[in-house]
Amino acid sequence: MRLLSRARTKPTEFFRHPWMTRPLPPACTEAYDPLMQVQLSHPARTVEVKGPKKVKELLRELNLVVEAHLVIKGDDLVTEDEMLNDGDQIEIRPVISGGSPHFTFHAS
Amino acid sequence: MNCTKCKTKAVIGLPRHNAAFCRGCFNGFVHDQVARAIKSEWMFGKEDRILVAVSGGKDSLALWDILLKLGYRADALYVNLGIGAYSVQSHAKVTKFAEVVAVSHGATLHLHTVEQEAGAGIKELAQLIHRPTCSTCGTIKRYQFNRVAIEQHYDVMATGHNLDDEAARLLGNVLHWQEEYLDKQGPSLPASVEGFAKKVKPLYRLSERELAAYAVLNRIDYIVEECPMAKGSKMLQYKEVLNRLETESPGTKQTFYWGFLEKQSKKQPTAATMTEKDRAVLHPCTSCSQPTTAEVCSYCKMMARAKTVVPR
Repeated sequence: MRLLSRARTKPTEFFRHPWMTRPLPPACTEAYDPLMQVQLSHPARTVEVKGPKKVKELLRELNLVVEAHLVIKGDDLVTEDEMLNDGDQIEIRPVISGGSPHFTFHAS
Repeated sequence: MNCTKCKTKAVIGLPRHNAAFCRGCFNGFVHDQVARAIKSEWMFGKEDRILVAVSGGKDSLALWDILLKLGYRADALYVNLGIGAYSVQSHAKVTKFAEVVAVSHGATLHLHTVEQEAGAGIKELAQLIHRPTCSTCGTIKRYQFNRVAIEQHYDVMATGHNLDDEAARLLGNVLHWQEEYLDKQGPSLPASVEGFAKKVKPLYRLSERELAAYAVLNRIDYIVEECPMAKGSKMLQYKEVLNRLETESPGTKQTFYWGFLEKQSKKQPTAATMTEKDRAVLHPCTSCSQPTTAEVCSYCKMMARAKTVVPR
């Protein structure tokens, strides 16, 4: 009760507290940065990556082969030299499919 | 990176062609590659009726889309294999594409459900006959696509096999020296005997990545998830190896498969020799009349076994 009444009577004093004027420690500032959100498949998961970074650098960092993936930024397909930034929504879509080596055209 | 043709911003780079394209020019490139494949391999003409084998994946839906846009008379067949949620999802994608895109071109979608005929899904059938699931799937698809093509009087059956599929299969056949399969690795196979439809692969000039890009750029809603039955398959391993080589040395897959086709065309298989070979070993199945090397084809054997074991 006492705390509440203090806050009501002296709000300006509360917000001027010296602790608030100091810069936040590094761990806290990092947590508020909007990192690049990268959606992956097989299994489906999202990872956060620090930008800026070129598409080919991102693929290399995630150990993914260019020829087996497409990179989609928002709704758009992007080339390997495109720069990706913090806050971007990225999907890395695998392109490989297939099962039977013998779904061929021979008689059964 | 700018488009090689119109110099606007590119959306895809194609290292094997030393080119990059914007959306419009890339669509032109894909259509041109398919048109070249159809023409160079004498696949079909504008008057022919085509049956496209669709699965809900990027390749088959892209193939149906491309053929319709190029002005061909292309209907499709979807075989529901009964693989739980995966089949439910792929069936929905195919139906949606048929309703949104194909119907406006006057095309029809045929459906076949494995569970309705066999009383069990593909996984149970494979266990029943003690064969790998992918091999059972191949037998069923081959049989049903051929059956519908023959019964509904289609001139040709088209599948979505791409450059990666063919290069990976060639690698597998060469690694195991399965020479008997090499003759039939061409992109166009004639209707060699009575009861066999002509079969073609119009996407053999395009890579898997190019077809996925075509699907994304043209808003084709396909099933991205891998078939749960295909996990760890040899084909996927071969593709992975080839893609690593392709990334390091662009054009590897193309050189490997197209080079094989060139050598084969110089060596032998003319339509006549393939037809002669088939006629020597194939005869009608005593149960269903589709061509087979045995007295009863493996599809009929599988169905007979399913009917005795699966409660209906």
